[in-house]
Amino acid sequence: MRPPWWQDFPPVEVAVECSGTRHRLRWDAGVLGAPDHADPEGERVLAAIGGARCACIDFLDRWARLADDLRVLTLASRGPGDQVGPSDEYEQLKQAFTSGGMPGAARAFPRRLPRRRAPQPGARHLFRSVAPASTASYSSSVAFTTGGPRRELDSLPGADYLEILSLDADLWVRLVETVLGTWAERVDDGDTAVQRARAALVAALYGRVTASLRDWTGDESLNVSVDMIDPNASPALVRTSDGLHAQLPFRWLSDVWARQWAVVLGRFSLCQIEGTDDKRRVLTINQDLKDIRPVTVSIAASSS
Amino acid sequence: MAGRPFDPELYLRRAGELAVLDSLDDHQVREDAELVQTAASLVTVGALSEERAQEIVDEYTLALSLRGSGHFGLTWRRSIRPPRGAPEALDAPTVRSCRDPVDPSPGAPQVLYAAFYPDSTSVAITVEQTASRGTRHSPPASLGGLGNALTITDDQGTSRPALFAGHGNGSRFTGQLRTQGPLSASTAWIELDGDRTELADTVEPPPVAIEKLAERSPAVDYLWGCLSVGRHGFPVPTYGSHVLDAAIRTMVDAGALDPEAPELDRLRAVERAMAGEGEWDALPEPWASLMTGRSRHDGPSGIVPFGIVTSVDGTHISIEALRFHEGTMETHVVVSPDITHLWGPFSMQVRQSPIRWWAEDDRGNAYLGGPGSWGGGGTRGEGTIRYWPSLYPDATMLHLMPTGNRERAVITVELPTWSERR
Repeated sequence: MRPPWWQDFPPVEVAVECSGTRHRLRWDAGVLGAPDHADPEGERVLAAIGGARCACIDFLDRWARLADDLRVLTLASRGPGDQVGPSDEYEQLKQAFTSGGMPGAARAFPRRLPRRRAPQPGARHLFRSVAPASTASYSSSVAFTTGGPRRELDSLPGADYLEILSLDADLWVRLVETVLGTWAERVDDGDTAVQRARAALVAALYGRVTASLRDWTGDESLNVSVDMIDPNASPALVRTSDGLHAQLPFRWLSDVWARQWAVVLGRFSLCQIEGTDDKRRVLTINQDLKDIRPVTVSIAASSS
Repeated sequence: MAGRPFDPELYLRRAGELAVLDSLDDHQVREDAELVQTAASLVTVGALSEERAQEIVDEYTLALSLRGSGHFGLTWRRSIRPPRGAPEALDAPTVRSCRDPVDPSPGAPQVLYAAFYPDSTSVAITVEQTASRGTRHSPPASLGGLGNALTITDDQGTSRPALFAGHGNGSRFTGQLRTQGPLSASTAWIELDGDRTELADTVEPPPVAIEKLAERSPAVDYLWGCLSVGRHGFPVPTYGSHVLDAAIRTMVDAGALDPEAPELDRLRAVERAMAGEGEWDALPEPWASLMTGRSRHDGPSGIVPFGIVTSVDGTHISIEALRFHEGTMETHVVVSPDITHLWGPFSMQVRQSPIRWWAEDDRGNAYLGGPGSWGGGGTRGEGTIRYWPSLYPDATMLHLMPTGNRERAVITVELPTWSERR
C-alpha cells in the first residue's frame, strides 16, 4: 500500500486578516482549512446572496481553484538553486492598488530588478520560496479608481498564484506538493485528463530533472532529455552522445523531488521503492551510471 | 522524448523550462528571445495556434518575473491593453511645412510641419535646449510637461489642446503634438500657445504603387523577417545569431524546413554581416548595399512633407513626411490595425510585426527602417520609423517600401536639392 502523497509533509499554519481580526489558515494532511470558520459553506451561501465576503473563505476558494492547476508548476521552483518570490513589480503594483491610487503605471515599476541569487551552499530551506517580510496579511478585492478604470486586485496577471506566494512561502510549497500529488495520482489512475495535460506534465518533469541532474553533475549546461514513462515501467538514467537521458515516471516529482531526495548520499534517485511510517527506500544510481542500488531514508517525526 | 511524434506544445514548454533554468545566469535576455522565437516559429509553420503559443509564453513570462526578470510589468500592461481592433481605413493627411523656418529661441518648440487629418492635427516639432534643462524622460516645459496640453490655434480661430509624444536625449526633443479634433487644413498659419508659424502651400502627394512579391514559404519569409522586421529598434537586429538559430532549429525539428536548404546559408551570411562578422560584398541584395553603407552617419537635414495613405497585406499605413537631421532619416507613420505593440524590445509577443520598412534611392542604395518610438491602442497605432544608413547626398529620389509577405507599397518621394533647404 503506497502511503498518501501528503505523508511526510508537516502541517503549515498562517495568520490572515479576516473580518477585522486575525484568523488561521491551516494545511494538514493534504487539505487546507479555515479552523476559525465553523461553517465555510454556509458563509459562501451568505456571500452569494449579498452577505459580506471574508478573506479566509476567499482564500480557500483560491486554493481550490489551484489545487490541480499545472501552471503552479510552471511558476514554482525547479530546485535548490532556483528561488522564486513575488516580483517587486507585483508588490509595488499591488501596493498602488491597495493605497487607492495609480499615479502612473510607469512609476510602479523599477527600471531593473535585482536577480534572485542562488542560495549559498548549506543554506536551509532549499526549496522554500522567498516571501517578502510583511506578508502575514491578506486583503481580497482591493480596488483603485485613479488614473484609469476601476480594477480589482484579481485583474493582475497571476494574482491567484501570487497571493498565495505572497502570503507564506511554506504554504506555497504545500500548494506545489498538492498539485504534484494530485497529478501523480491521476497518472497512476489513468485519468483521461492526463493525455490533455501531457505536455505540461512532461515539461514539469523535464525542468526539475534537468535542474537536479545539472546540480548533481556540477555541469550547469548539461544537455538532458527526459521521457515520462508509465507508472509501472522501470526508471533509467543513461548517457547519450551529448548528455544524459532520463526515463522517469511523473510520480518521481512527488515521491522523490518534492522530498528533496533527488540526490541522496551523492547518488541520483530514480524512484521510491517502498516505505513505512518512518523509513523510505529509494532506488539510486551512481555518477558513472553503472551501480544501481537502494538507499534507505529515515523520516524525522514532523510536528505542527 | 526521442522517437515520439513531434509535440509542438511540449517543444515550446521545453524552451520555457530552459529559459527558467538559465534565468539565474546572464543569459536571460537570450533565453527570453529564444522562447519567443520558438513560439513564433511554431505558429508560422502552423504547428501551434498563436493564441495557445502566447498563453504558454505568458505562463513562462510570469515564471521569469518571479525570478527577477522584470517582466511582470510587460505582462500587466498587455493584460490591460484594449483588445486588438479590426483594421480601419486611414485618411491621407494634408501635410504642410513651414513657409520661412527660423531658428527658435532655445527651449521653444520649432514647427517642422503640420499634418491635418479629418479628426485631428499632428504637428511635428523639435526643441533644442541646454542639457541641464531637461532629461531624456522629461520633456521641456515649453511642451507642456508630462501629461499637460499645449494649445494650437488656426487662422479660423479654432483652438485645440494638443499632447506631446516623442523622444529626446536631454538636449533635443523630437515628436508630435496631436490635437483631439481637427484644425483647418487650409489655414495660413498655426499658433502654439500664441507663437505663430506661417505654413507653406500644400504639396501634391507622391505616387504610390503596390507590387506583388514572389511567393515564398512562410518559414523562409519568417526567417528573413527575423533579420529585417526591426522589432528591436535601431539599428536592427540586435538579438544575435542564437535567435535566428532558434527559429531555424524549431522549424527543422517541426519538419517544416529542410536543414540543407541553400536559403539558410544566405540567411546566416546576412546575420553574420549584421553582427559585423564575415564578408558582405557577396551578400544578396538589398543586404549587400545596406551593409556597404553601414558605417555612414552623416547626411543632410531637412523636411520633405508629402502625406500619403496606402495598404500592405491588410495593414493600412499613413505617412506624413520624411525628416532628416544630421544623419538620421525617419518617418512618422500611423498604422491600422495597431501593430506598434509588436515593436517594443522584450515584448514577449508571439505575433511578429507584419511590415518591414525597406527603402531604396535612385542610386540603388538600400535602407532599412526600425521602430524609434511607438504608441497606440485599439484600432490604430503610430510611431517613428528610423532608417539606416543615412541618406546618400547624391540621391534625388527615394522609394519608401513598406513590405509585407505578399506585397509591398512603393512610395516615390522626390528629394530636394539639399543646399536649398535647412
